[in-house]
Amino acid sequence: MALEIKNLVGGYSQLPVLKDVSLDVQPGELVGLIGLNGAGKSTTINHVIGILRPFSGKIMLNGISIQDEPEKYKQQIAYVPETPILYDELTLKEHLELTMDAYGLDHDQAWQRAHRLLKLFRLDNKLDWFPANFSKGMKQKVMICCAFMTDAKLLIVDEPFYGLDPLAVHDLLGLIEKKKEAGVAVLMSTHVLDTAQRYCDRFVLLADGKVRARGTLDELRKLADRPDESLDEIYLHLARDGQNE
Amino acid sequence: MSNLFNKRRQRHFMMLLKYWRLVFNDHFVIALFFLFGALAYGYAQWLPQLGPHLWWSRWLLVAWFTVLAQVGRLATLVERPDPVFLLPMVGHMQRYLRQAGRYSLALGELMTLAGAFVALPFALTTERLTMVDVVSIFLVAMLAKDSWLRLAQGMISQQWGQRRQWLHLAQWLLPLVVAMVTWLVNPLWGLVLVIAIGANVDYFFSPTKLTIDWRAAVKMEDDRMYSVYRFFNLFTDVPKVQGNVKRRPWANGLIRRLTVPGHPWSYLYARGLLRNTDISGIVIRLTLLAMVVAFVVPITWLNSALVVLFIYLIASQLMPLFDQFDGNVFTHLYPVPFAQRRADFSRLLVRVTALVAALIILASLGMTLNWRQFGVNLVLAVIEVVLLTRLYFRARIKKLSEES
Repeated sequence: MALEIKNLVGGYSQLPVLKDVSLDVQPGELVGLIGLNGAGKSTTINHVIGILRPFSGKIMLNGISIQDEPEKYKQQIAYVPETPILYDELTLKEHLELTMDAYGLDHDQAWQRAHRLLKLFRLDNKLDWFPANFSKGMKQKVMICCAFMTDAKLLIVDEPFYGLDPLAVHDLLGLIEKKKEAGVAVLMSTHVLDTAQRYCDRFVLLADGKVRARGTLDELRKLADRPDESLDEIYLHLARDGQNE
Repeated sequence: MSNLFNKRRQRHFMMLLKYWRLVFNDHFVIALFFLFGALAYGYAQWLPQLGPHLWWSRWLLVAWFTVLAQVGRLATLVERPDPVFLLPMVGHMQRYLRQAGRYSLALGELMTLAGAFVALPFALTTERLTMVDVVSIFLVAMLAKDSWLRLAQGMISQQWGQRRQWLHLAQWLLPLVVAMVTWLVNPLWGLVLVIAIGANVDYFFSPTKLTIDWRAAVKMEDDRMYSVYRFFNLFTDVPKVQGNVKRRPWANGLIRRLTVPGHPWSYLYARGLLRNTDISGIVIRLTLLAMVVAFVVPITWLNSALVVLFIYLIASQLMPLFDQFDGNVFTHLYPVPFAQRRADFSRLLVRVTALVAALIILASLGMTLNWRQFGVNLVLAVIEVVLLTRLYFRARIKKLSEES
């Protein structure tokens, strides 16, 4: 089991945002984390990457928890944030080198991977630019290059499609597919449900800090009692139900 | 829209008040008293020594009044989101800008009056002026300021956007020409000229003829506020002043020397220090100042005391670099032990402090190649750098890392 979250209660201050969240992501599996704004998707992700400390519950990554062995835990994750976060002071090339140093990657091998990614996203001629001045989509591509260059066992991708052009969305999905084949577990939060429906193996639907539903598309259909409908419709149905409760 | 400007002006005042309170703390007020007292006394002592027909006195007045016209910028209080939120209000912006113009004019004229008063004793000593002349001089200065602000309004308009550089030039040329006529020909002729120019400027730059250029307006106001904040930042921490980033390719060698291979924090700190103008700027300025002081102060004990003080001051300016990157979530994700971060930071501190100390000590040789001074400073600096890094920095870093 790659990622395992058990009975997680957590949030930003004293007030818990997440109430008893449990989910798991298996190696080679893409799990879609879906939910309305404020449902707790980003809070969940912030707990997994270790910026928030759980009030109670457990987060284990291949049997390691962040409290017990923070370096080993962090070594295993790579993160693509919702809004690109870059250093004003570093060039594109330096962002990649810093990531290599931070993860202790072999520079020659990592650069081979990096060059393939840069070429894919048409960034290979911008190595000496400061990405802080890039457009939103190009910044997002830099974040993707940095994360996908590592050999992390868990990829956390938060709303990756915003600002990306259709070609880049397609390429990103291809990259995720390849990572899955290599046995990497991927947790992705998104609102782009038709894409999620086609690519995710399983879904976790969050509402008001709780897991409202989970399972494959078929399982969700059964749960909502809507056998032929798309994820989009099931999601709307479940979300409205949740709001009426 | 008139409410909007008034509300913003009030908010702006509150903000300024908050910062002014911090600037005018007790010690600084006392220092200011002495400073102004000394300046006024020096000015008063200087005037009687001047003869009546100095070739440069009129040119000094021309320069003074030309520069005086540049003081007091156009404060539009426009904010970044305005182009989006006020987009449908373009027509009403004229009224808003007229209010902003009046507000800026009032402040600008106050400063102009003060500046003209300062110059008056000098002018009365070196020139023979009648009452009419004096009144004309004040009027000229005030009308020149008015035209200057009109030109500033033009600079943020769509009509004049393409010719911004020319307007900027005019903001210098116009007061210069007016001041030259005033002081080299006759103040009355200066008054006639400034009225003629002002009428034209008022005609061409009347607010009803101008449409706001949002990009230019936001940029101008941002620049203005940035310099205000930067001033306050000399006295207290202003969150909005974060410094700019410059590539500085000439520093690449130094960056490489400061970077420990394979250590991400060292990589980050070296670049953060040398490319962000905030910390590097103050370190460079203080180092240069310290070098000058060490170069010129001839009394051995005073020289050494100042060198020791400067090294401490410069070194302590480096401390904010420690948590400079805490806002970036990735610095929390790197699988790197905290001890390594701390070690990398102290290594950088030692290297930079040692480099700065070396430069200052070298300067303390002075014109006369005072080797004794050099030796004393060297011994003191070595002891100081060791003490600073072993004790002081370690304690500070420990405190900072407990906070972060």
